[in-house]
Amino acid sequence: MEMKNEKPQAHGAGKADPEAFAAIVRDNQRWLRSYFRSRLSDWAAADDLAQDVFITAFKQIRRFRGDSSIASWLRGIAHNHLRNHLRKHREVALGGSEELQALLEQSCDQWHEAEDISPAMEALANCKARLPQMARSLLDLRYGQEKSLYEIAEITGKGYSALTMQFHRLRLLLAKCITNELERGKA
Amino acid sequence: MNEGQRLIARLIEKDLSPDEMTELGCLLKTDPSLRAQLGAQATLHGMLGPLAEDDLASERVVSRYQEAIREADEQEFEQRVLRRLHQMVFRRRSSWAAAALILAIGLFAWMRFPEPVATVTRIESVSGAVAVAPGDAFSRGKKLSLSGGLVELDLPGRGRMIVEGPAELEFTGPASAVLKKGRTLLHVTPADHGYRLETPKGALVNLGTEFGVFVDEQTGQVETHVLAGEVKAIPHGEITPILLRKDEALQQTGTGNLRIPVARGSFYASLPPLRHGPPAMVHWDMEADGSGFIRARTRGLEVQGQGLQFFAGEDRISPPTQDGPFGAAARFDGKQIFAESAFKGIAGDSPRTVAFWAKVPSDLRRQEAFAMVSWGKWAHDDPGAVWQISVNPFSEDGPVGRLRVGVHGGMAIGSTDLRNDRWHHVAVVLYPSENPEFGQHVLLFVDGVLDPVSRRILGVIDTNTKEASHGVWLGQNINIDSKNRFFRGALDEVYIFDAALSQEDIRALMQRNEPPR
Repeated sequence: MEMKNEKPQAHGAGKADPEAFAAIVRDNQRWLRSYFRSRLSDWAAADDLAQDVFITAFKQIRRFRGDSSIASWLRGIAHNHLRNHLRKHREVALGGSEELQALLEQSCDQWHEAEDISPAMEALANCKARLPQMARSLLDLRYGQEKSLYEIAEITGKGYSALTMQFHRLRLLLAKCITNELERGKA
Repeated sequence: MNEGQRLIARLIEKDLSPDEMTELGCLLKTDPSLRAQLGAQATLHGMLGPLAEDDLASERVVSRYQEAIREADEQEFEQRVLRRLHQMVFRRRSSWAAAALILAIGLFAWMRFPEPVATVTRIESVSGAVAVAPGDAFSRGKKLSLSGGLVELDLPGRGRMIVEGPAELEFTGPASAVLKKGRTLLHVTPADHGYRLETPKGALVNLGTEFGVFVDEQTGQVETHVLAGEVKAIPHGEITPILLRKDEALQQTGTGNLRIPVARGSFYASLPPLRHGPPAMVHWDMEADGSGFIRARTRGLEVQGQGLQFFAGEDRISPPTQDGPFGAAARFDGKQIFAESAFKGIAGDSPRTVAFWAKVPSDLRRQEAFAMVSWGKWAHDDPGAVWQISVNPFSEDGPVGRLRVGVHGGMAIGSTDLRNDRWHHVAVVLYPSENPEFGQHVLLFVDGVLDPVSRRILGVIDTNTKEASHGVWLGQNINIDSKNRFFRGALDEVYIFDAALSQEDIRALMQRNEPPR
């Protein structure tokens, strides 16, 4: 769940060491996938793009000088991959229209732009744990089991529109909680 | 909730019409706080999925990515070689280069064909949702899922693997697999070292030649035991690998990595070879015929004397009986009753099977658990010289109430609690091997199903029947000086064979009381 900032051992004068590189994948895959999932409506495509980022990074590891963190370097690659992907597949943009996607891009980096996203991830885990059981079950259906809203409506007997708003409120609650947790951490 | 928020909620669910998108765009342009809300909503929408994954699911993603990286690396290599060959063809116009190009293309085509990465060579007592049979081949991405039993797999050109159920193993490449749960022993040929086994706690790379891994699904703990050669362990989140040498072991828990003593006996090193021809046997059916003892039915084994004689202390008594699964059964009081045969039992490290019905009371006390069947010569300083089947009474040795087989120095304890006043069919199999070692070559069966060993201690097996002053005992501890001397419960249809019976043989005994022919 953490974003490692130390200089990786996976690069050197020659070819990348796949085993050392595995540690980079392990440490960064969660936030990188969440980066793409925040911007694309197709989660499978988002995960595939994260995979492409690692492949590119593996091939180019010799070029990484260690001046910035490995996460910043990966984020740069991710940004290029996202731009190229959306050029060809506009339909999977979460924003729907070009205008909304641009506005979304501008506004959704409040935690991903941070040098280390792990405090935000930890805060999210803490905030989620504090939610009532019912709310956690709903989040598990949507994000753990990746069920659609229609399926959840069928399981819970709730209306589609009501669920849309309920998930919105839950995310809002979590966002406030994360901000508070991070502020407390600074203090 | 205002209109802007409603539209954001529906945007996240891909539920906005083009007009509504335009409307939301207008609102966002003029309202910075709404833009911040859109950012937070989208970011959380993306974070919650990966956050919800447990370690195993996360590891599956990592494995998939690593495999893709390896493939991309291979493709790059192929392209480099082809480019080089292409240049050679055009520069030199050499027919040799053209031939090499054709050969190389053929070779790469062959390499990319989905060759099996593992093939089942043997199975023993397997159970699971998907049937497994010898000859079954697993290609990249296929899974082996076992509820119980043992499967031996050939890793083409690389070695072999024994998987003990319950287990879940996914083959991710010609030299890589993911063990999600269960126990496996990997034997890799020194020339082909480098086999990589992923577990929920990290990766293990075989540097040749033999190691066992146990992934405990309940606790999430992973144990790695190196039996020969070396293994490189790469725990998650760490870049520096841990080198494990022969006779070293590593335990990985949620809190860290701990070096532990190696437990060589914790893994099956081979599967029982197939039996040929009817095995020799002795059988006591517990039907009293007024002779004062139980007659032995034998085949190929010489049993001196009159059969099975019962005693209460030092006094000979008529067999105390009760109803059993097949006619009468023998009853033991846990105080002084036991039975003795003139048959001395199976000697040395020869293969054997002991099968019988047992009824164990639910209120069995610690001192009433030894022993259901025993033979050999007990001596403190002679490990491995006895063979004794009991109900485990000691929590420090393993779960209480389970089937326990001991050889003095080595033991194996099963998983099924026998203490419930019901009849259970029990079988213990020692199968032949070049160097049979107790923990690695003993199978336990309860009610016809392989009973997973919950605890085992490796020990030599050299049952001393030559110097034993008595034959096979039923109901008495082989160590008569012990406070825990007599068994309480009932036994029926006791068989001793001089061979390792298969699960099918054991089920025939259980269901029809029919020994193998």
